[in-house]
Amino acid sequence: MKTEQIEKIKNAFNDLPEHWLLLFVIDAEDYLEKNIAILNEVLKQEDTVGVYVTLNRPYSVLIKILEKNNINTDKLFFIDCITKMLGTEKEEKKCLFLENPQNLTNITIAIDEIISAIPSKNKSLFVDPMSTLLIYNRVGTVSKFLHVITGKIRVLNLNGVLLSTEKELDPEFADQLEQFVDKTVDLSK
Amino acid sequence: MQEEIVTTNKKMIELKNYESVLIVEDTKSLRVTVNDILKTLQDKPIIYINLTNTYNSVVSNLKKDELKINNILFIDCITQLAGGNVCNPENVLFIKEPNDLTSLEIAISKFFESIPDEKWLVFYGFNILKIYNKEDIILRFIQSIFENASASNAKIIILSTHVKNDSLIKKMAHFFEKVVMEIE
Repeated sequence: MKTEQIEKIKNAFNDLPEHWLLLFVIDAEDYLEKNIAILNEVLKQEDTVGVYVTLNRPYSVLIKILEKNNINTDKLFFIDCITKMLGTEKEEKKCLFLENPQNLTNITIAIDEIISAIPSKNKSLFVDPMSTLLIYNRVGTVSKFLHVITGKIRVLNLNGVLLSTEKELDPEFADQLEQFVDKTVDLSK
Repeated sequence: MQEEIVTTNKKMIELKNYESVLIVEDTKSLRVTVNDILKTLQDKPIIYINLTNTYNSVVSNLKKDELKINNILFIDCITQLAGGNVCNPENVLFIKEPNDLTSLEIAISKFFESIPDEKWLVFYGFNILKIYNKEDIILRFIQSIFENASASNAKIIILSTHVKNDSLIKKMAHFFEKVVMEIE
């Protein structure tokens, strides 16, 4: 990853409100690398505990990647929306397995459950990637879901990171998403 | 005595001269514009509807930007939707969700009626209404707001982002005395 992009990620966390919500738009090419750099920045913050919603990478694969990249996974809980669809889940202490990314209500409930179970004051929600929801749901449904989720991040005083890949985004959806967050950081250029 | 104009931006002074203004910009510019507007109007009674953020978050951002909020009645359509606790300060009305246009309309008209002098409706994130309502319903809502405003001597500023071929913006533009469209 270019130094310029690393700086962009670091700077994204400057000049934010006490509780913040960021959208990162990433190109598919080096998606994972940037995703890890962002997560690393989030977890650097004092006493942060993160809830990682994975929409396209199974927990078992994701945890290996994160550990390989020296991410402190002790500070993370997971909501996995993909493994059950593949029929390969086994019980994990730190992960909730949901049926599929189609059931947006279940995702909302799972976030509520995990967040309320975490005692830390500094909680972050990490959604990877938002655009996957558009594969499984209509744009209007995802927009409503996003409005609720971003509202939830605000009312629960969480910090939030939403990731998205540029090409998958419907322009109207992208525009709405941008309005719900405090800052949009385009890492696709 | 000449009225003191509390503004940093010439465009904002001009906007004060119109009865109704529609501003269509990209999200980044719109955030700056709405703050400029609220700064310009901070000594006037305002009903401020923000469909993109919760009351607590909006207030904390405005305070960070050193804006006076004493004259603002906030309308929050998100907190209840997101399952948040509804506090009860005097300067906010919570509406269950953005498809409850009737409650929104009642809140606006009550505010208009309660203040005999100059007052403003500032509506930010207007296009979010499209997530929850059909276009014709939104147009009827707008028409009704304009009728109320005209009967109560209220001024309207609506701020929206623009998506290519946005038919709602095209259909509602004719309601306004001034349309500011700054799209690249």
